[in-house]
Amino acid sequence: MIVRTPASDALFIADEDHRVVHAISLPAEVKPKRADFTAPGAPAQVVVVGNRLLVTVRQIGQGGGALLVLDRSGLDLKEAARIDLPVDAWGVSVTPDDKIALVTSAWSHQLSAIDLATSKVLWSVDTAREPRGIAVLPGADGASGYRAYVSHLVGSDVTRVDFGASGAPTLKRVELPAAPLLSPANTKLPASLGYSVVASPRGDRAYFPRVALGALGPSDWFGVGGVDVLSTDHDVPRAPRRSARATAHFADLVSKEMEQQSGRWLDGANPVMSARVALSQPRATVYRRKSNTLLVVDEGRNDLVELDALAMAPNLVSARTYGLSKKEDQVLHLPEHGAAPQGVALSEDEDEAYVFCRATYDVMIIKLSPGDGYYSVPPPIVVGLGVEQDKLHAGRALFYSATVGDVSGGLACAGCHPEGRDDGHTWHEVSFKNGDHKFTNFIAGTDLSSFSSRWGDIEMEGTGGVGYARQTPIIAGRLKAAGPYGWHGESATLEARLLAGFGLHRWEGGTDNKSMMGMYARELLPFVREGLTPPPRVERALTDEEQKGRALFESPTTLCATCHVPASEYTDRNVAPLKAFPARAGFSEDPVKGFKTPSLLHVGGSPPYLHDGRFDTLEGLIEYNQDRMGKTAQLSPDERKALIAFLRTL
Amino acid sequence: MKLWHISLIAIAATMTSRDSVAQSDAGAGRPTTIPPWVEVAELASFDAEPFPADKSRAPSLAEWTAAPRVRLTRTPQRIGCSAKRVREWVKIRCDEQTAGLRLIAGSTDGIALWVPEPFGDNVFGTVGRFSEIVFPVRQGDQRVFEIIRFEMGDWEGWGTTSTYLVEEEWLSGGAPQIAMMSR
Ligand code: HEC
Ligand code: HEC
Repeated sequence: MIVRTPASDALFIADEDHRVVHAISLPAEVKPKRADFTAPGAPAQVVVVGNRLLVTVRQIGQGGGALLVLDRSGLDLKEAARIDLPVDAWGVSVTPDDKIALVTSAWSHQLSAIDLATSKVLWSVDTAREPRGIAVLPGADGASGYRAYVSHLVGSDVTRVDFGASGAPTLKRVELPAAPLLSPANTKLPASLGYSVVASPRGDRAYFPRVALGALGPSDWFGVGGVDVLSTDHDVPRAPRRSARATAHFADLVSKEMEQQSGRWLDGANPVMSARVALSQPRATVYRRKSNTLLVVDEGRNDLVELDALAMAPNLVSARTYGLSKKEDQVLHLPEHGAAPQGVALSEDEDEAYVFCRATYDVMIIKLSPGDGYYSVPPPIVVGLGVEQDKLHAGRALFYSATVGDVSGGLACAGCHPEGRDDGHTWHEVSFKNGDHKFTNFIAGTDLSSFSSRWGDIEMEGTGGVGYARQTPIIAGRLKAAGPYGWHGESATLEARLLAGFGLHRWEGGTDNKSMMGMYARELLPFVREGLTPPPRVERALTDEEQKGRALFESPTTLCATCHVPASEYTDRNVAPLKAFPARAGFSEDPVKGFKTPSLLHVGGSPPYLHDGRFDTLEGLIEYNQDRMGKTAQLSPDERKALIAFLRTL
Repeated sequence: MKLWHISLIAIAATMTSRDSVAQSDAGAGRPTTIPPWVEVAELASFDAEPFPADKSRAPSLAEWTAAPRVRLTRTPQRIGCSAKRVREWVKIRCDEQTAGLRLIAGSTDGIALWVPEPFGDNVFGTVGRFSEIVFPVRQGDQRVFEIIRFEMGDWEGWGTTSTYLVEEEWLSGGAPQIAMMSR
């Protein structure tokens, strides 16, 4: 998202919201020069190769994505080549010999290789959902074969790709447990927000910053954001799994003694280690060689966090945090600079970091600590990008912020609805009881042991599991209607749903500051309606099969279109009492049986399905549907295929 | 057990908060480290000698006593811990008041964790006065130990805190690594 040129004379920044690549001259501290290059679509990431820039563009018009090759002279950029790619081109990385560029296309889940000498696509291959970051291992060339790792926004497994100067690539899914040292015993946690990956300078390790949903910690209701490290020699995770029972000496005895003296708050008494740093929304990463540290930007907390790259689990050992935000406005208490950091680059000497911040459209310059030990951080320097703030400004900042207490407790809207899409997770909506105090929260997992070791016994509503199932919906492009919202259609208006959310997204069910909450909801509202870009759809004629599927969808025999009304985002917004499935393992039986017909826009790309995330594929959903929702039992295998093919075009 | 209550409260009175410990490097009022700190850099690395292919029995006390100190892959500066190696066995001893040890992850095979309990009347001066971790270093290992110390809190009295991790890792094809990390 932000790069420094090798000669250290400029920074280039991909700004999706303004569809511009900004250029800033270096050094930037005093009166830097600026120039803007208008891109043909939203630019996502940028890398420098010699005197050229490579920029991914998510979508051009109603068509596919692209990689732009830009010639550079000073701050000026000129398009030299445009390479068509699958839609939603996002991450880009080049091989160490600068010969091949790899590009991920997020929504269309493709990975493509481009020969930079000829500007030709060598191959595009299908990967798992939402591929994002790419780290090509150093030292390789076309003869020995290249290797790269790809992160995914959703899910804990990562992708490894081996390829050469020509020929087809080999893709492999690599299992990389999310936060295994903080996972409940015998549990493989899901992960989200895997935007980035970096390799160590020797290529022996690959680092995947992301959130382990349901990782344990006394206050970690949504899990823990950290970095999962893969040893690339044999694709082995560096951190082992936590033992089901720790083997302890003395610790438990002492802890027990202390519990009686209200000493339980200190983490030595907690049988589960607590993370030293918990990132809310890790977004971008660079490797700092001179200190063997990772610099990760935390979009939600407005921090740049420096983590030990040699540790098995970098967020479990001591780390350094540099605050990015500066100045607060008096009304909404939002920072005027340094909010929603999304990109980071280092100076040549690695003593400075340049951080692009998306909510305030500026670059913050941070002087990094020269070494170990104590270091008092000078305040960051602000370099504005010269763009005017629009009316969505405050809503945008709120959408990314995890620190506005009236809105959320540690995880922003963007933490569960990244880019307005979804995290692929099914949350637990739990009603807790603490004496007379009752409150309802989302939590990511089902293991409450570290909460109770910190806060005492926990009482909750419901039986058979922990809370009611709430699969995260896509919100971008689906919020046009007045209402109702929520899986049960329980919120009459969007504003009501936002206010309900402010309670659900934090421990203890929100604050009592109704007037601030109202103000925040009114700022967020226009942003979530107008400021989020829906997943891209390529305009094209339907295939024969898809047309057949549409006819089935709209036919009176299947009844699909009676509830999923095409004219209104494929929903009638009514609550339909469908025959209930028994509650999924880990969840309580929801006493409310009716569910609001969800919009089917972009449904092909947002598994799992139904309010409880019970189906991983549309095939599974239709297979088991029978005549529960509409009528599908009568459909032949070909008709089912056609119906699903049509659903994927929505 | 009664005795314990009294003793632990007594300790609390003498503990400083984590921040002030960290900042008082000049050591006002803190005892100097005895024996004197040996620059770990001068020691041979723990893996200077090749590791035996076969499993051996845990070393005797005499063997440990005779063994020279070794340097680990990483040790935080100025911590009162030292390491020794006998065959494939490594012992990490910390001469610091310790509130407990835990093996968080990895094989329990052959490991020993030890913190002495208080003795005599001077409970307060003798509780957890040092700690020892012993483990074999073998191919395929991935272990994490946690060292817990007493700590004074900022607002809720005193308690214990997880202070160091010991990470032992020997992935196939790689070299063994043992790192002590501050938390
Ligand atoms: C912890 C994860 C999480 C966070 C944080 C979060 N959401 Fe959600 N969101 C969900 C889930 C899960 C649902 C479905 C819950 C339901 O409908 O009962 C949902 C539902 C919604 C809906 C209703 C959609 C519909 O079609 O009915 C809207 C609108 C929404 N979220 C907006 C936001 C905004 C704005 C924020 C930030 C203030 C936010 N969310 C933060 C997980 C989250
Ligand atoms: C009676 C109204 C109704 C009819 C008819 C209906 N649906 Fe649904 N649909 C719903 C409701 C309600 C849900 C959510 C149910 C749940 O989560 O348990 C849903 C969910 C879905 C989902 C999952 C969406 C997601 O994001 O999880 C898909 C896909 C879907 N319907 C497709 C169809 C198809 C195809 C048909 C025709 C065969 C159909 N529906 C007929 C009401 C209906």
